[in-house]
Amino acid sequence: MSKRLAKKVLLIGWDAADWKVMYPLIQQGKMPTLAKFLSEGVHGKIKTLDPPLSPMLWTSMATGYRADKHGITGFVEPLADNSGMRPVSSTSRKVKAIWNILHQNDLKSNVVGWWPSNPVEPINGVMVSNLYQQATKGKIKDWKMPSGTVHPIELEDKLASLRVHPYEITAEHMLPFVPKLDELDGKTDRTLKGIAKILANAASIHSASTYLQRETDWDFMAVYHDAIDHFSHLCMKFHPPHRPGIPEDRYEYFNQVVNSGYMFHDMMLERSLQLADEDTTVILVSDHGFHSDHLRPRYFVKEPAAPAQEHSPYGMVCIKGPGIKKGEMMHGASVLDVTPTLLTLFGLPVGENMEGKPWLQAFEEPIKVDTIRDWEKEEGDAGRHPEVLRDDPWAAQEAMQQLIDLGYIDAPDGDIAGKINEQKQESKYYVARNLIDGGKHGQGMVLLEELVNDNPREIRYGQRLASCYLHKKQFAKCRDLIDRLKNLQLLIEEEESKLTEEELEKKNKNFMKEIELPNYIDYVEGQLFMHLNRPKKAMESFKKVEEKSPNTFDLFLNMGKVCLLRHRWEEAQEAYVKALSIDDTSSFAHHGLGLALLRAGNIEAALDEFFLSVSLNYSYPSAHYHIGEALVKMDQKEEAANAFSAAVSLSPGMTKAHRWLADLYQNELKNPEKAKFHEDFLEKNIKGEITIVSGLPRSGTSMMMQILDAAGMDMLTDKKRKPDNNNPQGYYEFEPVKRLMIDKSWLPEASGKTVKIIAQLLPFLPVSYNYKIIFMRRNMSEILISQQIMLGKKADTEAKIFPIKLNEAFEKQLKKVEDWLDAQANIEILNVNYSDVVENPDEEFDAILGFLNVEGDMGKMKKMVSKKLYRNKV
Amino acid sequence: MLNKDKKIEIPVQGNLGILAHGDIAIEAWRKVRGAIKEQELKKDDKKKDENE
Repeated sequence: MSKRLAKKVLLIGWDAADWKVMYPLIQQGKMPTLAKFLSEGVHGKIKTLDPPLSPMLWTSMATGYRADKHGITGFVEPLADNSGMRPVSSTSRKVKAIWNILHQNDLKSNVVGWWPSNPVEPINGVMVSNLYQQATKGKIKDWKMPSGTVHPIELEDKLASLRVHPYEITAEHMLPFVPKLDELDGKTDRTLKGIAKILANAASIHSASTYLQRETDWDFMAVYHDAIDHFSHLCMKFHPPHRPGIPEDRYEYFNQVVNSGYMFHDMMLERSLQLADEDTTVILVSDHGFHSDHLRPRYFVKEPAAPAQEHSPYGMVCIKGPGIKKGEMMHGASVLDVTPTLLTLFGLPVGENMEGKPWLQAFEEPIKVDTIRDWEKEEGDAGRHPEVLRDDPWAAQEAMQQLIDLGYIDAPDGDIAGKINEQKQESKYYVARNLIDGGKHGQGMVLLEELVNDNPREIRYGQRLASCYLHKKQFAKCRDLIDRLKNLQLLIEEEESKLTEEELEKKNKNFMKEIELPNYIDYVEGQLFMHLNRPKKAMESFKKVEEKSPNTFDLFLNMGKVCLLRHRWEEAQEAYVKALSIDDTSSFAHHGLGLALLRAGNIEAALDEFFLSVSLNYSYPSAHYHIGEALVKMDQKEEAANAFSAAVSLSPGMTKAHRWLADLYQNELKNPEKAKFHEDFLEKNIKGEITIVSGLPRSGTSMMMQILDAAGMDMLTDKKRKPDNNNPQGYYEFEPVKRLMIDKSWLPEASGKTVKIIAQLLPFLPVSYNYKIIFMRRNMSEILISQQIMLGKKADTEAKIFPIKLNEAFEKQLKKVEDWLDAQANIEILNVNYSDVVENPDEEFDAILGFLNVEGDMGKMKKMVSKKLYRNKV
Repeated sequence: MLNKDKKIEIPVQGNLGILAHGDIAIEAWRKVRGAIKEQELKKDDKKKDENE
């Protein structure tokens, strides 16, 4: 068994807390407790899960599982008798929470306000449920607690008395939030009432937790505050800077609410830390962030739970206590890591089936982590609800529906039944998204296919399904579905255009006021175009998405990739900078920016980005590889070799890094032993060598193929394209080459042979082969004239109409291919000029045979060259 | 040892510090202001009745 590392652990949850708001407040001295916390511990960002819905996330945090395993699949669930809906409950959780595991190990927990925790579980310790602080309408003296709010029951009266009712909130409490309070009517202003309610709820939770901290013995204490999330949903739109569309007067009244909310939490944190023993390990964590700057959404997608679009994908985490590093950052934390970290702190094994990992980087000493196959399989009292109470509410609803269908019980009225069904579909949708977020596209796809089948007019379900098809490389299905959804979108728009304003409002009554049709479909279509190597079209789709969703991190990563593919280095830089403005801890975005800078020739800046990338994620072979490439360009050969070695140690099969190392050690660093190691590797692992004749169409590639055939090379050609007047001696083509961008399965057949591939397709060659390329060069005017004639446009050439635009396009394409060829370590290239072969074949053939390391019959080769066929000489 | 029983001011009209201090301060504040709040609530109820 591992050593117990923490005597006591205090876990404080601040829903939606975000460093983007807190860092400036810390700098201004307005969150002094948190500032001290950071200096005494380790902090960083924490990655949320999709969808970022709080009941699902806080349950993932408390269990170490995603929603498909833990069973909390949204905000609401059906009542057991199918007569309506209720907030999600603890009885629906299918797995043990951390407090159950601790109970099983004779440790005491206090849990306050966790979402969802009603009804409370009979744990060793105290549990105060998430319904504890919810005020009911009416007088304070009539304010009762719902059943199942407090365990043990003996504490019920005392804890009930510690709740703070919104009526108790005075002007003095409110003034820090709304300095011009006296200009507003507290009885009618909804925002003011909202602030009072949030403040009262937070005070209730804090009051219960300080009481339990003082009055009870505990090993683990978990306290959940939703106030930052609620303040942010209510007032982030008024947070500085002022945005167009926000009324000036409302902005003036409420622009300090969010900041004051955070400062109030800092004050509560101060008290919680005062009450904790000095040897208590404290973890402060949020489940997601909240956009507070230019990334605040301008529109909400038309779907339930739309406000979640204000959430940002990164929350905050900090940890301090015995054995924890001080004043350092940690990277790569996930919501799923919380339970594994808590188990590690208590010296308990981590479930092998938990997806997260303990935050080992936060500890001063190396930590040994024990594992257990599955905590669910560990029998014994875990302080859970009795088996009879634990239920999957949706399965229970199905059973109830069956009884209704059989006529044993009455159906709920139409409205209720419809609402239950809608919510059921939503819950299924959230689980599907959660699975996709965890990389389980196949399982997500099954659920989404059912949803689309049952709800063919729900565009959201279809577009997520299209995304799954894309990930499973089912491109045709993806394309069909996108087309169907686009048609459906048009149809719905047309239908809505015929509705009266009143009818439209009724239809959208559940949605936010500022609404737009979903544009996720454009995003999926953009990705599809990327997969089909149509970067220009992909960019058109992504730009549409950007207009409406300027805060989508993955969108900018994809836009960056497209720009890199199109050699638009500056645009690529812009896209990656935008991605980094959302998440500056993304090693992928730093790497992408570095690559764009490197290709643009800004090597030092590129190197900075690559170093940032590996500092955030050392296990990123491509970033190390490109550090090597940049260092080669800076003539720092030894350092470059170190970088390539790091890439190879992380990705032993990275042949291009081996090639660089073989070359550097052989020719620059004069270390033949090391060079041999990498050469041997390449010899063992490279699948083969392919000779390629390339160039632009009509640059003399067919002639070169004939020459190499005559030289005795083994040719890969199917001779499907017959000789004609343009190429009387044959084209020497191989049909599958045309599909190189999507199908590389024929390449083994090409190993050891010679094949013709036009220049534009070369970048699709995989790195698992060595290539020798004879690249045919010919005057561009000659190429174009020859192409025009071949296309039957002889009249144009006779009229001396020169296709200038085509000329520019080919020049650009050629430049792209040349840039790409320059960066490939597995390609040797020989440029051969068409006119030189015709005019001076002996010299050229010498060079060609030497390059290919073969002995050819020069006489036979020469017969393939005919000056008569050099018909379009300029 | 940290100061678990830090003394704070308890003004009748309340303040954020009281709420942030938690259970002890809230109970102390209620003792100080209790009657005033009840009167306010009664006034509010009366006003509501009149309006209705």
